[in-house]
This record gives sequence, C-alpha cells and structure tokens, in this order.
Amino acid sequence: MFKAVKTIPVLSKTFTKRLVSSSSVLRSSSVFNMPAMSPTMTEGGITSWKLKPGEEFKAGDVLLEIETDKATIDVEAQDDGILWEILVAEGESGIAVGKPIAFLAEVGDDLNTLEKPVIEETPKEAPKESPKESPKTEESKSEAPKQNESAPAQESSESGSIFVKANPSQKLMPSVEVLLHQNNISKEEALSKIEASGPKGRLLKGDVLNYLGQIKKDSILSITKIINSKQHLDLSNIVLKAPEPQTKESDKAPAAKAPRDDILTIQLTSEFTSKAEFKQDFENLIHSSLVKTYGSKFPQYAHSPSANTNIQTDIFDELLVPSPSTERFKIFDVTYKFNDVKPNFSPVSDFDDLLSPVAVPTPSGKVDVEFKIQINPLIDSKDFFSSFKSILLSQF
Amino acid sequence: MLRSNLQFIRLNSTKTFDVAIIGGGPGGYVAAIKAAQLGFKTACIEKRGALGGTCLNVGCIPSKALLNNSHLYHTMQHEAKERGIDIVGELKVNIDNLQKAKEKSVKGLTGGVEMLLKKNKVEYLKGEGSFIDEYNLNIKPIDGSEEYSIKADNIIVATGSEVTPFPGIEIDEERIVSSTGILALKEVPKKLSIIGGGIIGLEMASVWSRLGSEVTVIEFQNAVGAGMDGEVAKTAQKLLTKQGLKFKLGTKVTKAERDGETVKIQVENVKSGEAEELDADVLLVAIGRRPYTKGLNFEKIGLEVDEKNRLVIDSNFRTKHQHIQVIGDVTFGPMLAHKAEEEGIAAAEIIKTGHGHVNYGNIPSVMYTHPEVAWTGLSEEQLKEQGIKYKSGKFTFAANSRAKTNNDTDGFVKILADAETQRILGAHIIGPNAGELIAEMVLAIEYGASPEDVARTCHAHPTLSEATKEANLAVFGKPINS
Repeated sequence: MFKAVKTIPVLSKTFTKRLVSSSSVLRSSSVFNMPAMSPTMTEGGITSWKLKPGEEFKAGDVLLEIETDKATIDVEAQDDGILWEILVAEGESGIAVGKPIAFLAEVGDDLNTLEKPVIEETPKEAPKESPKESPKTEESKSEAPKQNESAPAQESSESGSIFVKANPSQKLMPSVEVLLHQNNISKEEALSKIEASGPKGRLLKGDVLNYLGQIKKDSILSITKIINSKQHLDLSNIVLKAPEPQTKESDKAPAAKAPRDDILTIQLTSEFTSKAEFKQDFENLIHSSLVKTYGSKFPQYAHSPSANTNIQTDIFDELLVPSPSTERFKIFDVTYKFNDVKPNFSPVSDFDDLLSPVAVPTPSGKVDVEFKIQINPLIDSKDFFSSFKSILLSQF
Repeated sequence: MLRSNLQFIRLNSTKTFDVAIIGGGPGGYVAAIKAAQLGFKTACIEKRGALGGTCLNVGCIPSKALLNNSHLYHTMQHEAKERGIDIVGELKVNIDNLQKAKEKSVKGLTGGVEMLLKKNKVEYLKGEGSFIDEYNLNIKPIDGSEEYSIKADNIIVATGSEVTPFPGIEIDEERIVSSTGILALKEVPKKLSIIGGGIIGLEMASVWSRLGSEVTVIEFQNAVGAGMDGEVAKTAQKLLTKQGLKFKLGTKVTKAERDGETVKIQVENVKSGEAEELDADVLLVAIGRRPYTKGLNFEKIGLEVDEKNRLVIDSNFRTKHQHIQVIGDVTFGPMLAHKAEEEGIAAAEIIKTGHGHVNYGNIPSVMYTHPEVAWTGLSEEQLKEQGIKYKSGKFTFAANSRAKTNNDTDGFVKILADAETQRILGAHIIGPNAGELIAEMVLAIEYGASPEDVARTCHAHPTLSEATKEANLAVFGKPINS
C-alpha cells in the first residue's frame, strides 16, 4: 500500500510500455494515459498540471499531480519530451486508469506538422478483478493493436468520411457547451481540435466524449456508419421484373408522332372582299408586323439602321443578345382557303355600313389562313415570336 | 384595313417546358411549385380532376376529418358529464353532415393547391400524361377535348399508388370496400370487419367504432401497427381494445364474399389452422398499396420496374434516362405523403443544382388513432437486430401535467439513444398529439442531438412536450417529475 508517498520517480510500467509500443506506430507523438499509482488504484483525479501545453520537460521533471483516494502523488517524466496537449484538465476527478489524459511529443518535433496520435482502445487496468476475468482482458489487449496495424488504411479512410473538421460557424449544442465548460475547453479549441461526426461538421456530444477519451472512437464510427447508411434508400438489391410481352394495348397507346417542336402552325380566320386584295394585304401585314417586332426590340434601328450612334446601349446586352439582323423566326408556307359566301347575307351589316364613316364593301366570304413558323434556337426567339403574334393580331 | 373578326383559333404546336411533372399529388405538386420557384417553366399533369392526389382526395385528409369529428363525438358521449358538461337532449351523429364537413375540408385544400400552382405560374394540365418518347408526352384531356402533346427537357414521374387488391376478394366499394369506400359510407355499419391491422386499418376501425360499429380487425401478423416499435404496438392494441375494438391477430382470410347485404368472411388461425366464419355489414380491405403506373406508357421508353412494380431509380431519383426522375409511392421507400413531398423538393433541386437532400433514416410515421402513435428513427427491435447497444428513456403521460389536466393520460414517450456516443437513434410516442410531438424529435435526430440536448432545451409549461423532455432526461439521467 502506498501511503504518503511523496514522489514516484518514474512513470508506471504500463505507461512506459504503451509509450514505446505506440511510438513505433505513431512516430514520435504519443498518448499519455492515466497512470496507476498503486496496484489497487482504478481511478484518480488530476490536482494540477505542472506544465503548460507546448512546454518541454526533462526526465525526472514533475508533469502533474495526481490525487488518489489515499494520497496526492507527483508524476515524473521518465524521458525528455514536450507536453503537446492536455486532454483532461486539472480539477477533474474520477479519471479511469488507462484513459488518455495528454498527448506527448519528442523534443525537436514540429508541433504544427506533427500528426495527432490515434487514441487506441484503452482497456481498463483492473487488478481488482477476479482472476477468472483477467485472461480475457489480456487477450483483448494483445488483439487491439494488431487490428489497428492490419487495417490502418481502411480505418483512416472510413473515419475520414465520417469525421470532418468542425464547422467553425456553428452554435454549439447545449450538451457540447456544458461538457466543454466542465473540462475547461474553450469553444475555439473545441472547434479547431475536435473532429466532428455530426451532419455538416456539427460537433456532437459523442465527439467531445471521444476527445476527452471517455468513449472509443470506434463507437462513433460504427454508429455513424449505421445512421448514414439508413439515410439513403436501399437500392442495392433491386430485382427487375421480367419484361412482359408487348401487348397490343401498349402498341395502340399514343401513336402520334412527336411533332417537331421548332415549327409551329398558325391558323387564322378572317373575312375577305377580294381574294387578290386579301393576299396582298395579308402579306403586307406580315411584313409590317415583322418590322414592328424587330423595331420594338431594337429601338435604335427602328428608323434607320445607321441612326444608332447617339443611343446609349448596354454593352453587355450587345454581347449577349444576338445581332438585330439575325433572323429569329421564319414564316413560310402561307396558304389561303377562301370560302365564298352568297352576297347580301345580312341586312344588319348594311345598317352598320350606313353608320360607319367610311363605307366598307360587303365581305364576300370567309378565309382560313394558315402559315408555318420556324423558330431559330436563339435565346430571345420566343420573345420575338410572341411580340410578333400580338402585333399581328392588333393590326386587324 | 381588313374588316374582320379575326381570331387565333389554335396554336397548333407542341408546348415546351423545362420541367413536366406527371401527377399532382403531394409529391408532384410540391415538385412543380419548387421547380417553378427555381425558375423553370413547369407543367403539372393530373388526371383526377383535382390536385392533391390520394392524400388530399381519398386518404390522409378526409380520414383525418372523420377521425377528428368522430373523436369529438366519442368524447362528448363518454366524458362530457365527467368534464362538467351536461348534454340536454339527444347527442347524435348526422352522417350526411359528417361527410359534408369532410368534403368541405377536402375541397378547400385541393382548391388551395390549384391556387398555389397558379400563384407560382405552374401550368396545370388536366389530363392523362403518357410517354410518346423520352421527351414528348401525350396529354389526353379529361374534358374529352382533343389530345395534344407537350415536350419537356426534364420529366418527373409522381403517379403515386393505388389500393392493393386482396386476391380473390372483389371490391365493390359498397359492402366490400377499400380505403376510398370506407371514407364515404352513408350509414354506420353495425358490424365492420377490417383486413389489415396497419395504420389505415386501425384509423378506420377507430372512426367507425366511435360512431357505433362493432369492429373486428383481422391481421396476419402477430402484432398490429406495421413497423411500429413492439412495446408501442402492444400498448396501442391494449388501448384500442379498451375502446371496444376486437383483434384477430395471426389470422388469415381465406375467402370473403358478398351475400346480399352482408359479407361472409372465412378466416383461419395461422398457427392452429382453426377455421371460422365471420359476417359483417361492411368489409374493409386495407392490406397496403401498390405503385400506380396505369396509362403512363413507361415501357415505351424502356423504364424498368422491380418485382413490386416500383419504377427503378438511382439515388438522385433518376431513371436510365437521366432527365426522367421518379418520386413518391410509385418508386422505392415508405409510401408516405411527406416522404413524397421531400423527394419532390429534392428532385427539383437536383435538376437545378445536381444536389437534393432526403434523410430516409428520419422520416416520421403517424397513426391518428386516439391516442395517436408517432415514431421516427429506429425501433428497439431494429436496434436489437443490428446489435446496437442502446439506452432507453421513458416518460408516461400520466405524470405529465398537461395530459393530467386534460384527463388524457394514456401513453408514453420513449427515446432510444446509442449507449456510447449518446446520439439519439429513435423516438416513439403513443399519447395525445403524438403526431405533433414527434416533430421535435425529428429535428433533434436531424441535427445529431443527444438526449441531453433536448433535455437542456426549454419546454413550455404546462405542455405535453414536457413529456418528451423528461423522456430525454430519463435516457442517461433521471426525470424530474416521476
């Protein structure tokens, strides 16, 4: 029994062993676990850290002061090194033996480029446990590093997709805030140092617990993997239905050929007095509507193509809009179908004629006009066409 | 100029759209509005004659109208006195008016959707849309006018689902009815039998039982409430039995036939093989729904379906033709209106940005019986099956001040969280307003919260939501009020 032992000159054996074994894997950085200061010690508190993060120490220097149920004990360093990062702040009690409490580095290490050690499984040192169970513990101890060695690449890629850098602009969740406060970790430190497993870089309570070494990183990896897998529809084992023999009905279904989308057919009806005049008028009408359409879109050209020099134009418009001379759509295949109607079809119409200031000849029939429009694929073609349509209609 | 009454008779052309959506249900109309809001020229094609799909017309909405009003009746009938309300004269149900009230809410909502489409400049094409080729759709207007075609750069199929028929049982929507017919009964059947103890079955059982029917629910499985957490399903069954529902679990229907004004139903115990004949005035077949693709002519363009006739998609809802997406009941995933809505939004966003978000691990389900049942995430059964170590926190409404005040204390809130990382994995609520209460837990899970996060969030007092807070507190610590 240790009672009133003032100073333990060297770190406990287990720590030394782990330091050596982990440094081979993790190069020069290592995890400093809570040491067992007595064979019966299962947990203890940290009364104070004697060094600040980043400070160097020499073998024999006191690193921290640990409080057990029996005494307060100084923990001395065995080798030279740097206290890189404190994981469990002073004032904490009830820290299980074997739990990571700090990261250490070797003298001369560049702390900015050094890789963070991976916190390994920390099997509880349980000397109290009944002998029946102890072989089991040893088994898992010897297996754990093996696993890490055999599949380091797989683990890192997996954790790479699950752990991301914490989103720096997040508002911390209440559980996280409380936990950080209890462990004297600032928000800045948390956001820069704790890896996040939550959606969009959100820091979860589990991430902090992992950072504090209270849970295993694997726990986060495995549950996050399950959660992520459930977020998507399982489309992996689709069994396609065998195609049914084509039935007649499906053949019958819309047999209509897909019409070309860039050619429109337009039909109009009107009355006419003389066939030749109507044709002439209609052609003039189309022409004047076209002129007005282009004119309304490019006012600077409305009167004369050369009259644009004084008009402010947006240079970007000129770059984006196809030139005024480019044809937006083409009109073709104009056909007329004249239906002669017997004259004198309406006395009311004559009455109308009497009232109107200019005598209009009685219409001699109805005409169906049909023409086709092919729209050129320019960005403003449709716009042009709809203007043309309304101008044409308003002319009547 | 010419004297004429010239008019544009017809623009004999193919209208073109950036996005055309086939189906105006919760998936389709939401996708249409979203697409239009994202700046696409959008058409929404619907042949029902009313927007809103099954959900608004013959599903969620009308059933909730009946559920709510029958619940009011039931409460007045059984609890008025105890609550200090004396009813002078006769309290009775007027089925005609009950149905009218239902119609009114349906009409209001479907009309509302039409206005929304208009407001967002979505062109609503009333007709049946079918594929001519990968880009062109034939529209057969429901008013009988001439068919025409439209062209779209992107097409979203959202044709929904229909009632799965029971092999050998002919649905006449009079005596043997589907979920559609049961909503439109003109009188309260003396005896109602229901095949299927899922959500639709139990909701309809509640409605008609409250209005006076003697209801028997026949379920093949040994539990009701398909997919519910086991403990919750048992509690629901117990409470519904107390309300007068009869359950025949582990029982299969071998035959059902209309016999004049009654229906004869042959059932058989799955285990013992013991046969029995039941008779009922009305039989509801509610064994599920199946994808609906009638008239779509998807075979023409080579779209594939799986064994259950679901249209095959990738994780971005895309079919083998990249510009054709499929969402909602007609493809994979749970057949829920809100799932289709989420997909509608995501599909439109995928067209715009290549990315859309639906979290299938956190889609809530609600059963609107009384008490309501609602859940999201994983159930205890699923957690055990996956070998996940979890902790559970439970809080009963009997200890909740609001529930007690309302004298509505059946049920509990149960929160399941990962034992190590404390991340919430599932939430299961049976109790008053469970469907509203679950939203908080859906949000919590979406953010990856731990029970502590919910417990440290202020909840108003006195509210039912405090039960949720306490259940969260109970997962790793202790509740205050129990």
